[in-house]
Amino acid sequence: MIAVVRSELYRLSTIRSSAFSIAVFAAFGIIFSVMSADMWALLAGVSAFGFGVTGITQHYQHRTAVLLYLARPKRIQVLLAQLLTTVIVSLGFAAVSGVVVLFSGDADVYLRTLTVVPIMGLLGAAMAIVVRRATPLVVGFAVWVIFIEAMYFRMEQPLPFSAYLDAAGGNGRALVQFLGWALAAVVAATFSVRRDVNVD
Amino acid sequence: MIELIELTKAYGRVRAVDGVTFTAVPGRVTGFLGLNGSGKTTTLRMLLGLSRPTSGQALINKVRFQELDNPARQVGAVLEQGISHPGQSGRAHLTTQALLIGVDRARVDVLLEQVGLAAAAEQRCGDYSLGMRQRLAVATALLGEPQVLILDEPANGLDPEGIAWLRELLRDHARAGGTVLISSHLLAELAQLIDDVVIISEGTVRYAAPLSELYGSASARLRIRGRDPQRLWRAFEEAGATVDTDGYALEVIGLAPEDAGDIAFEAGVPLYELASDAPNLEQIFLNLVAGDAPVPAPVAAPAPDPGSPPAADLFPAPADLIPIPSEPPISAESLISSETLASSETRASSETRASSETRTPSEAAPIEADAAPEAAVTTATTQEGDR
Repeated sequence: MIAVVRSELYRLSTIRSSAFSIAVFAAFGIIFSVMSADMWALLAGVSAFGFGVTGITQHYQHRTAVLLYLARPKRIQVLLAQLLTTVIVSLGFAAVSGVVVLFSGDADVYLRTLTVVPIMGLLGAAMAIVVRRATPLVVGFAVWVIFIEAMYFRMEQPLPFSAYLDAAGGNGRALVQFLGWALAAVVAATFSVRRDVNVD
Repeated sequence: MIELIELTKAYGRVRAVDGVTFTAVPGRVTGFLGLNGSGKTTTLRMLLGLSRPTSGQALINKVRFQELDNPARQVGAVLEQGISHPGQSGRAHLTTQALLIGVDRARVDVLLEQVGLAAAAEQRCGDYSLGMRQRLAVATALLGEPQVLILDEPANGLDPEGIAWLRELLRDHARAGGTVLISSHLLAELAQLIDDVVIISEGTVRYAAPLSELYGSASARLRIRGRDPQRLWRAFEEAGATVDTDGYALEVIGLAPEDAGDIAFEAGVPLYELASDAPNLEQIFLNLVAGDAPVPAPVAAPAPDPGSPPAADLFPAPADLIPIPSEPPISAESLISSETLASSETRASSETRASSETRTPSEAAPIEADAAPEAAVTTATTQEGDR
């Protein structure tokens, strides 16, 4: 599993678009952290979701998932390694981009964000294993958050993004609920990852 | 060793692969041939654990791919048109794979050199040509120094030099005891490379045997020109041969070149040309996949004789064949007219053609009985041009 994690981290760092995206988001994160701790926390969560999604869906978009599964056919282990990679990237991104928050008197926000951001990354990566395509997943999730969670339920129900916001705000129960959503997605991913890989 | 046993993949009611059974043995190159959509890629995907079979088994070294211990060390695969992330350089791509399978990163540069991509190592894969991507895919497959190589249409996008390079690489791998399974939709493309052939059509195996048997299953045709074609025609028919003409020479099926020479000698007819045409492989292949021809060997014969000589050693590369100058055809009627005969004689005597050397029985070298028909080519001419 460590070999997969090392390989995935190396891959992310050497794909120019991925490395560029992380650098740009980190720059925005630093700017946001100067402006507002809450804005930084929100950006960190959204970014973690994005890193999780793109880290997985790129493999299907460019069919490198084939190489991954040829080298490591035990797909559950590959899935766990990819989730661990997402956690490392999300955590690293939040930790670095939020240094200003840490030292500007909002250490509690910093620590709470570092707690929920990896879970958001897990949610994104696990859902990406199920959906396999970035655009439908990101657009679908955005539509879900805006129309279902925000407009219909007014962010008052323990749904994924509402739970994330509450958890980031220090709500322990919401943190458990959010973790539950992420774990549900991971369980779905463990079944979905066994599907045939289309190489056509 | 690769073993496929009654491998089946069904999508709803459609059976994309239906009971495919064959074996690819070490030390030989096995060609897996079929038209587009015949089930080749689906079969290879099941073999490599990328999709699950509906029934049957696909084994590599006696176990399923998923059960192999560090499979990249045992099996190298080239799929599609070379898989890589377009935003990564060739070197970064190989390093990613090296980290993934636990290979020393120093091997990356060795392979880049081996496949001829050292100069393009820092170039983005997205900027690679199709041929370069195929070379990178081959390098990826070779990273773990596997004993088994599985390649799906690897020649697509390669230029003639690249194809020759790949052919040599795969032959060397087989000579070193490796197992090679290579798919294509063109038999002629693989004819100089493979030892065994498996032909698949509409998801089922139509033919599985050494390639030499496929050659042997095709009737060798002799092309014969002599002073008195009528007398030759009669003499050959009396010897039990089937004779036809293309309007310029006799086409004789059912006789060995030595026998034809002897018959002409006994009939007292000087020969101007005696050549054995190579069987039209592409036509044999198309007949097999279309189901128009009887299957000439037991279908799905699981174990080609590992001891039989590699086909590539039996059949010369096109460069080794002497091209024959084109000549204007003449009608069958004019063939037997005395005027044409005279003109033919004049032309034959005035031309110096390697392919028109008359081979008399006394000059004929003995040809080993187990050699393929091409080995009996006396004037190294082919009319089909399919090699």
